[in-house]
Parts: sequence; C-alpha cells; structure tokens
Amino acid sequence: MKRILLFFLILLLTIISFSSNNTFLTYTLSKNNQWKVTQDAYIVSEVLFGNLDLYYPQDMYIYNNKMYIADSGNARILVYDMKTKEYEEIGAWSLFTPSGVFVTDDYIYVADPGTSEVVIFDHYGEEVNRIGRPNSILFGKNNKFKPKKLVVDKRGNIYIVSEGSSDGIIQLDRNGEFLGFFGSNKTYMGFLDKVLDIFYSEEQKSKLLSRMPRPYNNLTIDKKGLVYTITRKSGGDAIKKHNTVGNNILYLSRKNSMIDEKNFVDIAVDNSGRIYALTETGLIYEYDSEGRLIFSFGGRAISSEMNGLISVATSISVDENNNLYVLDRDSGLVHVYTPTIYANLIHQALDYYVQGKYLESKDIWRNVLKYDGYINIAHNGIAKAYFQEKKYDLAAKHFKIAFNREGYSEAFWEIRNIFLQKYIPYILIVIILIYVVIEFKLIKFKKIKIKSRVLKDIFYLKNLLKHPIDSFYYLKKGTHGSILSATIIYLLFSLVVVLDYMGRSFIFNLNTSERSVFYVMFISLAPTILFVFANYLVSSINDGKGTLKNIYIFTAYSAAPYILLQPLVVLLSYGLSFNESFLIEFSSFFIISWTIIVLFLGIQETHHYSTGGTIKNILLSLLWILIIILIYSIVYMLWDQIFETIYSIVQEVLYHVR
Amino acid sequence: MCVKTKIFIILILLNSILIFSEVYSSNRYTKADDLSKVTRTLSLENYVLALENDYFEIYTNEKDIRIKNKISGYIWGNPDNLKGLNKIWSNIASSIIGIEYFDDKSLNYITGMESKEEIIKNGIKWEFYSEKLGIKFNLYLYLKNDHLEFYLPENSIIEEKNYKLGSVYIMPFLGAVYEDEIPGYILLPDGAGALIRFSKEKNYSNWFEKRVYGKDYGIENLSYANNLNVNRPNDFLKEEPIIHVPVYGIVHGINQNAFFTVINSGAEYSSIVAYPSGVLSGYNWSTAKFIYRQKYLQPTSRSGNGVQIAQKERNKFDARISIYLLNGNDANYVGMAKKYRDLIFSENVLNKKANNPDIPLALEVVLNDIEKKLFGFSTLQVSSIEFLKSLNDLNIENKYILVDGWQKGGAHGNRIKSNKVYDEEILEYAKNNPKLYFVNNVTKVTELQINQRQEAGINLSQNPIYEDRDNKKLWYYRSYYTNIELANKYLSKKIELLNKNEIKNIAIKYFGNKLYGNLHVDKKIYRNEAKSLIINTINKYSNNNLFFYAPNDYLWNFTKGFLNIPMNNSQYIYETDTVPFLQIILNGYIDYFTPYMNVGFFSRLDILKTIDFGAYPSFIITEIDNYLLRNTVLSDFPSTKYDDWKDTILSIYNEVNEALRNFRGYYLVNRIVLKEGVVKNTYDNEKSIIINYTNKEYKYNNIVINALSWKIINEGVNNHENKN
Repeated sequence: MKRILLFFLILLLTIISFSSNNTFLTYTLSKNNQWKVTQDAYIVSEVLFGNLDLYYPQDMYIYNNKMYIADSGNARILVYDMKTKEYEEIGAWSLFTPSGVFVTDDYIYVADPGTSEVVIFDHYGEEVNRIGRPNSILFGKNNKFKPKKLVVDKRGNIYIVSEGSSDGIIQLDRNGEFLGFFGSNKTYMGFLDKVLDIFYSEEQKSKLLSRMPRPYNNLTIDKKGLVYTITRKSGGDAIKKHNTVGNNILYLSRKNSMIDEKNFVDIAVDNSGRIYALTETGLIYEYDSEGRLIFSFGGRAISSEMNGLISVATSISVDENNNLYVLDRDSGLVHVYTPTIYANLIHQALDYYVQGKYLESKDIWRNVLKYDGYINIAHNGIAKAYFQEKKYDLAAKHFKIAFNREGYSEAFWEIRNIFLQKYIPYILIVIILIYVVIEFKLIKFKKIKIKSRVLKDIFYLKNLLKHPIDSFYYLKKGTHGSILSATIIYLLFSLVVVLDYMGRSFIFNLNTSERSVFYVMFISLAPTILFVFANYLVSSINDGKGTLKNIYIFTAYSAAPYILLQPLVVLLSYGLSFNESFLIEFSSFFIISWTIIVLFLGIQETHHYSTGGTIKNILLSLLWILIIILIYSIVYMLWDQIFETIYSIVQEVLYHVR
Repeated sequence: MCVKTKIFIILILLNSILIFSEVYSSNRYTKADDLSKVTRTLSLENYVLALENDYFEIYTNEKDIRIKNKISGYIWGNPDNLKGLNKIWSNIASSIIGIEYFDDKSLNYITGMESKEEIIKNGIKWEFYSEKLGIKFNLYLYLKNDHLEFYLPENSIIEEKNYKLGSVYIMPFLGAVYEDEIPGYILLPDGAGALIRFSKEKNYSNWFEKRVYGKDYGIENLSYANNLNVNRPNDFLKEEPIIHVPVYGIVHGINQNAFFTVINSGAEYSSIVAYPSGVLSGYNWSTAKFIYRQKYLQPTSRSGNGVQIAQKERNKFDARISIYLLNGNDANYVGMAKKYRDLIFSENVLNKKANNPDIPLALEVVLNDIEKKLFGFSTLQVSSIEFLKSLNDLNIENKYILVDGWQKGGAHGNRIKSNKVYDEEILEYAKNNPKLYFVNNVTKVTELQINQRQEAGINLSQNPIYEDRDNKKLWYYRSYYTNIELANKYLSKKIELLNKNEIKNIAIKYFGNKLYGNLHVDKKIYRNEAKSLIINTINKYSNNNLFFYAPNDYLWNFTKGFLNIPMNNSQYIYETDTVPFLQIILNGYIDYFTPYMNVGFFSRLDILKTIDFGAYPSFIITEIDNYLLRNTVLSDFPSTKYDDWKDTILSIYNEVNEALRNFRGYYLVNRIVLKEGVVKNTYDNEKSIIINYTNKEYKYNNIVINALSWKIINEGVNNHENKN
C-alpha cells in the first residue's frame, strides 16, 4: 500500500480582480453591518528594515519622527530616525528580552519581562532607573510582575500590562511606587456558568479559570492621557477606553456592540481619537472615536511575502500624518501604510461629524460617496446632515441605506408629523364619515353566501376567536374543518409568519440577516408538524381522545388569533416610529399569548384532559420533539459517515483504475 | 457645494498629496539606476573554445560552459568560487542543468546530473543521465547567428526506474551574482514588469516562482490555507498579476552587459524562477523552469481532504529557449522589451501609426445584470441605451464604449451556450456606432451561466474546475471555468451572431489569459493543445476588431486593444521596482488601457503613472445609483455611477491626452529615472516627457517640472544623460 499523505482541503481560491495598488482588500461596513469591499484606504508605501536583521521584535513606538523598536531577540532598543534614515541602539548590554517600549520628552521606558523590570533610559541612551516588583502590600503577595507593555502619562505615572495579570493594569507613580490596579476586566458569566454554579462548591468555583477576569493584552495612551486597552476576546468590547478611574468610556464598547476580533494584539490612537487595532494575522481595524468601524484591511503572509501582508503581527503605530506602521515579528520588517485621498476624506468628514458639525461634513460625505456608494458611515453622515437641514425624505433614504433604524425612525417621525399636520382635518372627516355610515347603516352590505365547503371551513377560523371551546368541539365532531382546510390554514399560517418576519416596515423589520422566504416557511412549519406528531404519540398512550386527524385539524385552527390579527400588527408597523414600538411589541405579545391559550384549550377539549393533564401533555410533547430531533441527528450523522467512507473507497479505486 | 467647502476639499487633496510623498519610493515605481562600471569578469581558465561565430565564443570544461560576448568581450557563465551553497546546489550551480524529481511517494527532491558532452555541427550535445534515478535526456546547444538556443527534445527523455522527472532548470546560475558584487538586476515579466536589484543578503522566506501564462487550472488545484481567524470574511487577497510573456533577463552593469532569455517552446509548461540573495544563499539568480510533472490534490473525501500526488503522465513538450546578449545602451529592461517587441510582432500585421493623435478612452458600460430577489433573481437594467447615447456629451471623440451585459440574463446571468440578446435595439444602435464594442465572456462564469456537470472543464482530479472566493456570504462566490473546447465553440458562435448583425467590434474577457486544459480521463486536452485551440479560434475571426482583457502574448498579433494592462508587479517585498516592461513591448503597436481607474486607480500618482507607462484611461460605469446595485454581482465594485465620475473621467482623459497625444503611434526608445521619483521617457519622434512623482519641483536643464506633474521636452533623441 502506498503511503498516503493527507492534506487538509485547500480550495483553489479565486480573487477579486481589482488590479489596483494593493495586494490586499479593504473592507468597510454596508447595509446591516455587512462586510463589503471598498476602495483602498491605505496603500503600502515602504517596507522598512530589510537589512537590519531584527529578531523577534515585540513592540514599536513612534515619537518625534523617531521609531523605537523593542528588538526582543537581540535584547536591544533600536532607534530609527525616520528623517535621516539612520539608526542607533539603546540598552544593548542591560536588557534581556525587551517587549514594550514607550517614549516621553525625557525618557525612554522599556518593559522587560526577562528581568521583570521596567528600565528607564534618557535620550542619550544612558540608563537612569530600574523599577522592579512593587513592595506595597496592596500589590498582593502572589502577583507576578512581568511587565510586557507599558505607557506613561504626562505626570509620569506608568501603566503596565504584566504578563497574565488578571487584576488589571498596574499603575505606578513616577518613582515606581505602586498606586493601584487600574480598570480590571469583568468576569463574564455565561449560561453554562450559571448552571454549573448550582452544582459547584465555593472551592471548586474559585479554581475555575474562566472565572478569572481576562488579562489585558496591550495598551496605548492618547494625547489627552486616556488609556486604551485590548483584551483577547471578541464580543463587542475587546477594545476599551478608560477614564482616569479606569472605567470604560467608549460608547459602543460599553454596549458590547463594537465590531471586533478576538485576536487583537496591539492598538494605536491618532490625534483625532481614531482607534487602530491590529490582529495577530495582520489585519488592521480602524474605528472612529466612538468605536464605529471604518475600515478593515491588510492580511496575512503565508506563502507570499508581499507589501502589506504580515506573518505574525505584533505592533502598530500611527504618526501625525496618519501613516500606519505595522511590525512583523517573524520577518522583522515594518510595513508602512499611507492613507489615500479616500481615507483622508473620510477622516476629515468624521472630524466634523464627531464635533456634531453635520452640515459642514455634508459635501465631504458626498465626495466620499463618489468613491464608494455603499459605505454605511458616509450614508449615515450625510443623513444626519440632511436631517439637520430638515430634508427629512433624503435623511430617511440615507438612514435606510445605512441601516440606521434610530435615525430613520426620527426622520420618519418628522415626515409623519408633517403629513399629519397637513391632512389631519381630512383624516378626521373620513373617519367620522365611515363611523356614520356604519353606525346608521346607510349602506346595506349584502351577506355573501359561501357555498364551497372548504372555504366555509377556512372562514370558520373566525369562530375560534369568539368561542374557542365550542368551535373545538365542532371541529372534533367533524361538523367543520377537514384535512384539506387544515392544510390550507397551515400554509396561511406560514405565510403570516413570513409576512410578520419580512413584511414589517423598515423600523420593525425582523429579517436583518436576509433569510430566504423558504427558510422562514420551513422554520414556521417544521416545529408545528413535529408538534402534531409528538402530540399524537403522547396522547395516544395517555388516554387522549383525539385522533391524528383531530390533532392535525385543531392545531391548525389554534393559530386563528395569529393568522387573523397579526397582519394588522404588520400593517400598524408602517405607521409607527421607534417611540411607539411598545405598541407593536405589546400587541404581538398579546396575540401570541392568545394563540397559545387557544392551543391549550384545543388540546384540553380534543383530548378531554384536565388542566393538569393538558400541561403534562404539552410538556411531554415538547420532550418528544427533542427526542425526535436527537434521533434524526444521530441517524443523519451515521449516514453521513457511511456515505463518506464509501466515497473515499470509490475515489481510491477510481484513482488506481485511471 | 459652497466655495468654502470646495476650498476645503482641495486643501484635503493637497494635504493628502503631501502625505503621499513617500509612496513613490515603494516597489510600485522605478528607482534610479546605479550606473557604476562592472570591472570584474569571469575567467576562462580551464575552459577550451568549442564553438564560435560573429557574436559568440563558447568555451567548455566538459561540465559547464562560458559564453563570451565577442562585441563587448564580457564573459557569461556560472559564478566562480561558489560560496554558501550546499553540495547539491554547488553541483547545480557549476553545471548547466538542475532537475527536480519525485520518488514513488510523490516527495520531491532537487539534484544536479552527470553528463557526457559531444561537439556537434554548430553546437554541443549533452547526454544527461543518473544511474540512481534512471532518468536520461539530451540537451542541445546551437549557435544561431545572434542568439544561443538550448533545446531539450521530448523524445529524448527516458525514465527507467520509479523516479519521475519533475522539472528541469536550464543554466540556472547563468549570470548569478553574489549579493551586490556586480551592480545590476534581474528582470521578471511579473505583471507590468519587475526588477530585483542585486543587494546584500536579506531574510526572505520565499523565492519568486510563477507560471508563464498563469496557473494551469486543469492541474493546479492547490493553494495555501489563509485563515485570518477573524469574524470578517477571510477573502483578503487581490489578484496577483500573471506572466504574459515567457521571458526573463539579467543585467550586469546597467547599460553595459545583459542577457535576455525567451522561451520559444514549452512556455505553457514553464515557470520563471528567481532567487534573490538571502533566500537559498547569497546568490541572486533567475532561470526558466520547465515543468514535466507537478503535484495536484487527489481528493479522497467529500469534504475535499485528499492526497497530494505527482502527475502520473509527463507533460509532453519540447523545451527550447533562446538567449540574446545585449550591450551598451540596450543592456537594460528597455533594451530587453525592445528586443522582444522585434521578435514577436510581425511587421505587417499591425498598423503602427494612428491617424488620430487623440488618445482613446475606454468606457465599459454594463447594460444589464442579475439582481437577487426575495424569490430567486431577475434581470435588472443597469444602463439604458439612451444612456449610451448620452455618453456623447463627454465630447471625447476617440472613445471606445465596451458594452457588457447585452445578453439575456445580463453580465453574470447569461447562458453562454445560448445567443440571446436582451434588447435587440442595442444591435441596431451598434450598426451606427463604429466605436461600440461587445464584451463577451465564455471562460470564467457563474453557475447560472453553464450546466456545471456538462459544460465546466474537468481537472486532473476529475472534478469540475472552479474557484471560490473565501466569503460564502457573497451571492456567487464560486466561479466555474468552462470546458475549453466548449468555450471556443461558444465564443465562435457569439462572434458569428455579432458578425451577422454587421458588428465587428468584439472585446473578450478572460479567454486571452486563462489557459487551462481539460483533463477528463476519456478525453484529454492538454494546456499546449488548449493554446492552439484558442489561437485557431481567434485566427478565424482575425478580420474583426478584437480587444482582449490582458491577453497573453500568443494573442497579441490579433489584438487591436489591450484592456486592463497590469500597472504593478506582484509587490513581493524582494521585488525592488516596477517597470513598464510589458508596456514598452506594446508601445506603438497596440493601444493599451489601464485597469478600471474608478476602482482604486484614481490618485494623482496613479494618473502620473498612467502617463509614465503610456497607458490610456479606462473606466467601468453604470447609469443607475450604486445602492440600487447592492443586490447584484456588480456591487463588488465600490462605485460605478457615471454621474459621480463624469468630471473625473473628463479631467483624467484630458490630462493624459494632453501628455500622450505627443507620442501616439511612436515607440518608446528610452526610459531613465533621473532621480528617485522623476522619470524621463523618450520616444522615437525625438520628444521626451519628464514625469515628476515627487512633491518638490524638479529642474532639468533649466526646465522646471512642477511637483506631481509632467512636462514634454523637445530634444534630440541622442541626448542620453546616462552615458558616463
């Protein structure tokens, strides 16, 4: 038998044919936070240090046109003058594995986890001070001091990320005295944790690693002295901006709704407060000062070392001209990304936008839209400007494109307001007229006689609203309802679900992930049919009086409130703004509860159960549904395995035959 | 827009220009040449003269040869005193051949070979053999007047044991340079053209190796996992430019000595390989690699896991390369491009001089495309015929309108088998519009356009040939490659349909640069046969005006317009420069157009580069608003709405026209980088243009060229500054 080398599936990947200046794509968000390729925001201008043999560089800091690199493997700080292109070394004989560097007017601070010290140099490269593990009792007996990254504020306080420290950032004063821990992460309790809590003892709980707050991974400081951190987790708050007491003040991050990644390794902030986060795989995420994503670009160098692709990214910096510098640990190179006109326009517009100067930003946004007609951030910006100009129609249009429901709702409220003010007298007159006509029976409606039995059966739905118990009795007796009518009602039901899910107005639309109609129909019908079947199984061994046919029919008719009333709610959604959303929520809740009660009555009536019996029956049915799903999955998986095996054998045979 | 904001935007633009200052020092631009003299040359010690003609003297030492350029006296050969190479590589570097072979487990190895030399009439014959591997073949060297030819005939290859011949390098270390001991560079035809200037060793983990004419999709279904581990789509790479011409060259001393290699036969199965100093050793070397077998993925499970094995059958072709020596002012990439231009273009096929000095503009207009709907999809009219008519408002006489999506089903939904037109009116309109071109694509299609089971090409793994974009959220993330025979058939039918309607203007996408066989077990069409098939089809319709999107060189003699020309190299970090090598070959013969400028190619530097490279502007446009396209495949382009771009189209065209109309129909004869970011191009009408990419003005003989600008200067063509 030949030795067979197994390879992981590697598909031939096709690539978008943008023959422009970058090797990588730039993404932004469009529609409902969907990723979309946009124009190049940054292009790589230079790749530095090919001739310097940096070895495992860990950190980089740019200060006064000089780039300071913690060249960890060579145990030195490399200072590169970006103007003269000359370089010098610092600390070659006193550092062990420098992994963090920060520079102020007076000093160069180096975090060296190898010696567990922070080493401070002056700008001549002379060592000034070494700060070791704090002696303070507050620091804790067992806490390790392995400074990995650091920043220094204007007062000279040092903020240190220590390896594996879950207490937060270590804050030292200028003399190295321990001031306290700063802004530690909260522990996250998932559903599973809560379940485990019931069973675990206190001792066991304290040993759980997941109960420890996540340590910070890296940090940066902006010109106002605010500290930004990143944590290795995704979920909308990987990036935090801390005030002086350490609380997170980044709006979207507090709401856990930033678009972030779990493998961020470094972060940088420019003079306008925009945030740049770098993933280990070489992607750069740019956010505005409130945490909204602007761009995501870059990529990983695996088989090809190209401009802008990074093998293992460790550090990102930004200079005054918004050039970005990314340090590649594996190749020891720094790639320089220069903003394009497109990025510069967006930055400028955002500066206005953040200051609330929407009108001033409008023309710039319009220019941005010339370059990319889909980008959310521009549609949102221009919509705000139109809103301020009281051009509500246009504002609504752009808010809708940007999928900003709150914004759209506000514009809609204004539009509705104008409409109402204009037409309210006419509307009132029409309402009064209709009332008069109905009340005084001015027009006589002829009662239409329905002859078809099926149609009659379907219209029987309305009786379920008024007299559910009686109706169920007749349904069971067979006076009304048939398999055919029930089937049609099931279809109606799924159509109403589709309407409810997809047909609401933009503000209340539930279909945000653009599911297909068939998927929604399937999701609505499959559990219903499963319920019918499970209920039959349960009731037939539990002295239920209903036959399968009975169950099929009564389940269909139980949906009467939903089928008949929910379309009205959908209709209502077109007249309401966000402020009145409770109306939609409440009426939906009311209708669904009603439906469930009718279903309950249906089971009770059809099977002649007591209330307790009905509850038991329902619970058992649900259990059965779970069991059916479980069995199905097991069979499916087994079948899949068998098929896979046969396929492999056939492939092998075919190969040898050919 | 109020004046204040206008000024403001201009300020931003200016500001961005200032920030941009460093961009031209990237490897997307050309650097200034180091013109220092080469003082060292190889010795002829231990070598004896074997052959001679007016141009060459060939010396041999049984194992290796030295080539003396009789005009300059410069000696070419493998480097003396090898250093830093292991035994296998030293062996290869001091011989004229290196091979890769596979053992019976499909593991590949590289080795040199023993040889027996024999002087024959006007040449040398080597019999290569390896007892251990059981592999034998012959290599011939012929002296052909102005060039040398190496020839490895297919029928001389014998494989006697379980070892299989993988690939052959011919004279791999010819002209290899240790670090930067000799000033010069390697020219690679990567995209527009790339230089690797000789430098000290740097840490690179990969070398340059690229298939001539792009990947062979019939075999190559291997790629590298590129997981970014993020929630964002993984799809992050842009398409790399391919090699359109089977050549490479090495310069020893710029404007002094160079050789230039052309692959005459077997190009379909060759790669251009280059090792910058630091990858394998301190040597910079480059060669052509002929591929007789390659690995492919033989899937064994449905999920696509499989084994990587070498081809059973050998690719069948005669390998043949020509080596030209260049001297003096031709010993640079411009000289190589001119040499290739002379070789490839038969004089009478193409009319060189154009009547109209105004440069052409290419506007690709999509008429219809499919739009995703709640249920299925429908065809959306993206641009109307009225809109086409309104394009005359641009007041640009010489413009080509390339209409795509004219078929039923639009650009991405038309069944390529059928020949239905969406709106017959377009045919009528075309009759009165000689500049209207019909875009056809029968090669790379969506699953709507073909029957995947019957019409897609089959690769060696016996699966349909397709490519995926690593983003499953895209509507059509998968593209299929049509069976090459059917593609030819369908294209013929389409051209015939158009011809029947008196339309002779045809633009063809993908067909000109996607070269792949069809390897169904029962009926195999190999890559070289596919090439002949394509040439035959196109030859049949050569009386049409044919535009191709980035065609490979075998179609150039039929090409009236070259769309989407690469303007960069692949930007590997060891590539030091981009040079307009491809452009210089085409210059004066075929009109070539930039990639769509509204897709990431609109900056000031890009416009200057367009002028520098002599390319004509092209755009892709639609009539309707971008956000109306959001559910179509066209939404891949960030912005295509004509109204948004109209002013930009006009201003870019006018500027490029003002510059290039001076040279329309003339050849570029010289290109010098005067200083980093300042380029001077000279054409054969004795006019020159200086392009200043920098943000400082540049003075040239008292003529001031403004920052980020260009200027035409009139001076004799013999005015070379580069003469030391």
